[in-house]
Parts: sequence; structure tokens; C-alpha cells
Amino acid sequence: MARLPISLVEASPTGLVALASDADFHIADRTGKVVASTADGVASSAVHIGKHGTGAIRAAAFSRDGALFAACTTEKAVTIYRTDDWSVVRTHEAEKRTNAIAFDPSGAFLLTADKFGDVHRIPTAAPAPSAEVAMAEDGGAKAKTEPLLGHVSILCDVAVSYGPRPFVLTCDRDEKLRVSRYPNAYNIQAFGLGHKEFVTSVATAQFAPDIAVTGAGDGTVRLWDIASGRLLQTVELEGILSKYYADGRAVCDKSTREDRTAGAERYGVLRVRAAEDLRQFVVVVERIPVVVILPFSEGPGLDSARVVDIASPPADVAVLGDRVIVAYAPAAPGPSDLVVVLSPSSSGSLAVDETLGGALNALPTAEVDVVPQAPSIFVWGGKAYLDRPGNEDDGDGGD
Amino acid sequence: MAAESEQGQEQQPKLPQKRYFRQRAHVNVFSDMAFEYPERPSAQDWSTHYPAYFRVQAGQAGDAKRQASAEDGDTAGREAQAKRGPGAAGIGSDADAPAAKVEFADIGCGYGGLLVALAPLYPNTLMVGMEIRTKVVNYLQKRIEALRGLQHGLLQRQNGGDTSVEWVDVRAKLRQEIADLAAPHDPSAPELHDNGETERLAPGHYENIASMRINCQKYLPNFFEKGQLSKIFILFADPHFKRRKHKARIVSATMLAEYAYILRPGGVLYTITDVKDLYDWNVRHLDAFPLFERIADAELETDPAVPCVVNSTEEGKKVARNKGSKYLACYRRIEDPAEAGAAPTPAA
Repeated sequence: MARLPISLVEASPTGLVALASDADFHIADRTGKVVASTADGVASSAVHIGKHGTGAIRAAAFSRDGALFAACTTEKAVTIYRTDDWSVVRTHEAEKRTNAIAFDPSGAFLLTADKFGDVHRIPTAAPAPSAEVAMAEDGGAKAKTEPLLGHVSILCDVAVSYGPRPFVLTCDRDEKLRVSRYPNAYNIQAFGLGHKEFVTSVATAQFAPDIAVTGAGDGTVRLWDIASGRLLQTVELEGILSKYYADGRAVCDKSTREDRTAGAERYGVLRVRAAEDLRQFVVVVERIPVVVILPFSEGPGLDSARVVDIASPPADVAVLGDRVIVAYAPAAPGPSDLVVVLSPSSSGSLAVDETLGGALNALPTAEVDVVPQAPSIFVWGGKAYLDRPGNEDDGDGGD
Repeated sequence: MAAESEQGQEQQPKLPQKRYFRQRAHVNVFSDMAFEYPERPSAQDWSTHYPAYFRVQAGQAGDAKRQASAEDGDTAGREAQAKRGPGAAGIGSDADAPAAKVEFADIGCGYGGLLVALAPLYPNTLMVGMEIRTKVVNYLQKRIEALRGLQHGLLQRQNGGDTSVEWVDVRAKLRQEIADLAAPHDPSAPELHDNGETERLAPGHYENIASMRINCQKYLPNFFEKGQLSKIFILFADPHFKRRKHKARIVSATMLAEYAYILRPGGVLYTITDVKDLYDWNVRHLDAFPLFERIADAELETDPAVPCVVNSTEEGKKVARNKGSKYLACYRRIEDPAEAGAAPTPAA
């Protein structure tokens, strides 16, 4: 028996953190106390959160003012909640499998990025009952949303920039970062070109509104000027992380090798986050038990990376104030901890925070016989033609 | 010199025959295929596509044929320069010209009919044809090579004193082709290499057209900078009739944003199809897209590219022979009306 792991962590700017595990999620405050949860019997004082739709939680987001929270499942169910009482403001069924969500600056809309390449806009206000039902096309409960923009590729992440003129940033499986005006997203501002593989994560920061940081399957983290799309800096993770493969601490197993590429050493960025209080960017990499810290300096630039060891490879990371919360990926002979929390230490680096970490690890979670292994991101992110012998595919097949 | 021209005549380039390069029209644009594309537009080496328009560095080993044409064609080059007009970086020119940029793109160029017709009309403009089907791109590359080679041969003959070598009057030729379309089609006539000059000199000598194999739905921003193009052509596109295939249509809200990105304000997007449903779809999407504005028919009458769009492609000729209808819709890329204080759209 093993604990069901946390697959997703999302933090609000107002001191709440969401931890998702399969179809449930729990909301904790800065002390680690669970204030709300979709699961029963978590804490006597916890507000019960109503779940809608089925499927595991695939993506989650807080609005910029912290007043709203949204969760989206693998079965396309999107639910928007108020964070003061966890009542449901709105439910929505997305047209396609959604990979990432983000609120727009005012919180009036939730942007959803799907595997078909489209970003849709869902109004966050509670629907007027008669109007919405009248508009629904097939008489069901779903209302049509306006597509905001589209890529011809799978969308991996969506983010909105800070500053007086907001841009929506979308990154896809075909190595592209696209910067579009908002809300007139039909007007493409720029493309950020440079990644050599699928771009998994894009982060924007209030402390540096003109730049964005992306992570990709090509083992790099890149710094971009948003308005021009210009690549400002590339950080090669191999240089700082290859020793984890040499030491045997990087987990490279069968599913990694089935990622259709030649080498066994992969540096797939899972998530990049801006740590506002720390003026840093935080990066976690698939299968490697570290947190990479990239301090930001005016320039703009990313200073030398600091690498903090953690006990086990990560699944996700979020920054709550000055605390970095990492959810552990399921690892067969792994610790029973769900998360590890790091906080700034006197030496200027990060050290394990036992207090908050202990509180979060005390979360009651389901026990399962076998913990499901998450497939490597390279399984879906890699280009299909790479494993075909003699790749002379001229696309003549299939309609 | 004499030996060289003899040799040149023996090695007269042959135009490729389409029947050896046929490939079915439908391709799944969403499937992963191996394409070559640059990381970003500045990384693309266009000189391999348009060798005559990019200077060869002094002392650099260029290929022998190119150097030969630079020397031999100098006199003819100057004459050709005069025909082309001022400001053109001619063949063999030593002018310190800035790197030329592609300005016209033919999306789904097929066998190249449009490019070959447009090339002599805009000899100072670089145009590229993009096509996803390997065999068709191979055909077009051979076709362009052959046309350039034939032009080179004609230049040499003219240099050697052959006064029978003339320049084509492009406008008159176009008018003749349009008139010919009305004539009944003779199925026994040999396959004509229509709208490619094999007997007369053409301005630009087809050095300004090239073709590439590319999936336009994914990689346009890799090749073209923001606002780089002044014309985009989408001729007789795959209609993708089935509803579930509509996302693959080359005109969609998604792709229009990318076309608007690579097209400069004032630039023109030309579409033509013989499928009324597709025309309706195109117009509906283009009318709804804030960065495009329909160009009235009256304005199109003075655009020299339009007769080529309507008549120069293999599909266009097929439709004319079958007495089908062609539906033309052209749009100008305008400044974003949503941006406060938007500058007025520059003239085309």
C-alpha cells in the first residue's frame, strides 16, 4: 500500500495553496492547515468543496487577486470557485481536453488551452440562467465559448503577462512560444523562436513584467523579451544536472527510454514558476531530484543556477510567498512524503522547512495498492517521426 | 568561348514532365513529418534558393556554373538590368545590395504555374512557393532550374551575336494566354509548358522564384519575420469537405492570425477557388477577421497579379477548360482597429 501522490500544486498570491491528487484537491493556508477540500474527513474545520464532472485534476489556477480558483479535469470539466466560501461560481464543459488554464488580469475570464491548439475564454461571472441555456447549441448545459486564438499544435501552457499592456503567452509542442495581444489575441505580437523541442511551461512575473521564462523538452530554460519575442538568454540544464545521471540519482527507467529518442539522459522541464517574493525563477525537471533556482537580475538576465537537492524526483512545484512547495513524483521505493517545502535559509540558499512540510505531509490521502507511474513527458512531446526507420514520410498517407 | 557555347547547347536543360511527379492532393497537415525549417527567419539561408540575388563573397569558392554566368552574362546582365528597371540587384552585379528578402509567398504552390507567370512581372521581387507534397516540390525545383538554365542559354546566344533572341513582352503574353483559354482544348496536343518562357528572355530570368517543402500550417513564423511579405497567394486550396477536417483548411481563424502576422499592413492576401462552399467559408472567415478588409473588384482590375491568379495555374486552366466558375476574393491587411490611435493603413 502506498499513498496516492500529489500531481499538481498551485499557489495563490493571497496565501493559499491547492494540492491536487487524482480527482480531489485540498486547499491549505500558509501554516499548512487544510481550510477546504473536495475529499471528506480531511479536517473538521475544512469547508467541503463540491466536485463537478469526472476525471483527474489536470490543471488549476488562482486569479490574480486570489478571489477565484479554477480546476479542470481530464474529462474536460472546468469548475470555477470563490475562494472565500468555496461555492461554485460556474461550471463549464470544455470542447477538447484542456492542458492548461489561466485567469486574465481582471479575473473576468478564464483562459483554457487545449490539445487541439485553441485557447478559449470562459466568463467567470455566474451565468444568467435563462440566457445561457438559450444559447447552448445542443440543448445541454454547456455554453459555447469564443475561441481567443489557435495554434496548429498541442498547447502545453498559457500565461498572461503583467504590466499596463497585457499579452497572452502560449507555448506548444512545435517548439513555439507565441505572444498575442489581449484581448485582441488575433493580433500576434511576436513569436519566441529558439526552443528545439516541445515547450512545456511559460512563466511571467510581476517583478519583471517585460520578460517571460520558458522551459522545454530540449533541456533548456530560456528568457524572452515579451514584446519583441527576442531570446535574451538560454540556460542549458545539462551543464548543471548531468552529474545526477552520473551519480545514479536521476531516474531513467523504461518509460523514459520509450520516449523515442536516442539518448537516455533527458532534461525535460516540468514547470517554471516565478517566485515573486524572492525575485527568482524556480524550475523542476522530470526524473531529477532537484529544484533549480535561477535568480533574476536587472539586465535583464538570469544569474547562475543554484541547485537544491530533494529526496525524490518532482511532479510539480509552486511558490507560496517565500516558500517553494514541491510535490514528489510517484517513485516505487520512495519516501512516504507527498511534498517537500523549501524556504530561504540564512546562507541565501533554500533549506527544508519542516513545519509547513510536515503539516502538508499530514494530509490524509487515499492509499492504493500500486501507485500509477506517470508516463514521461517525452512520450507525448516527442515528434512521432523520430522513431521511424528511414523517415521518408512525405505525408502521403491518410486523410 | 565557342566551345563553351557548343557545350551549353548540348546540355540544354530539359523541362520536367508533370506526369512523372504526380502525387495525390490530400495530406494530413497534423501528422508529424520530417521537415527542414530554420530555428528563426534570420537563420534561413535564402542564397541557395536565389543565388543570383545574393552576392558571392570575393575569394569564396562559388560553384563554377554560377561564376561563369556572372562573367558571361555581364553585357547581357547590364541589358537585362535596363529591362528590369533601376534598383535591381542583377545577375553578376557587384552592387553592395542589402540582403534581399522574400516578399511574395504562394501557399500550396503546386506545380508552380503562378510563380512562373508572376516572376517576369516583378523581376525585382523574390517569391517563394510552398508545397507539402514531396514529389510536387521536386518537380517544381527541377522546373525552375530548367527555366533558369534555358534563360542562361538564351543570354549566351544573344551575347554571341544571335539577334533572333528577343525579350518577351510579358503583358502581351498574358493577354494572349487569357484569350487562349477561351479556345477549345485539344486533348491530343502535347503537354504544354505554359507560362514559362523557353524561347524568349524573361525579366528576372526566373532567378527570383524558388520552391520549398514546408507545412505552412506549422512553420510560417520560422521562415518569415513579422510584416515581411507584401503578397500571399492561396490558390485552389484543398477544400477538406468533411466537417471534422475543417480545422485543416488553410483559411481558418488560426491561420489568418499567422497570415496577418507575416503580411505587412497594406499587403494583399489573394484567394481563389472553384468550390463555392470553400469561397463562402473563406469570405466568412476573412470578413470576420479584424485585420483583413475586402478589396473591391474595381480595385483589383488594376492589379497585374490578378490575371495570373485567375489563369496561370494548372488548376485554373483545368477549371476554365471544364467551364467551371472561379471565385476570387482578395483582402488587404489593415492596422488593428482595436488598438487605440492605430496608424492609417499604408497604401499597397
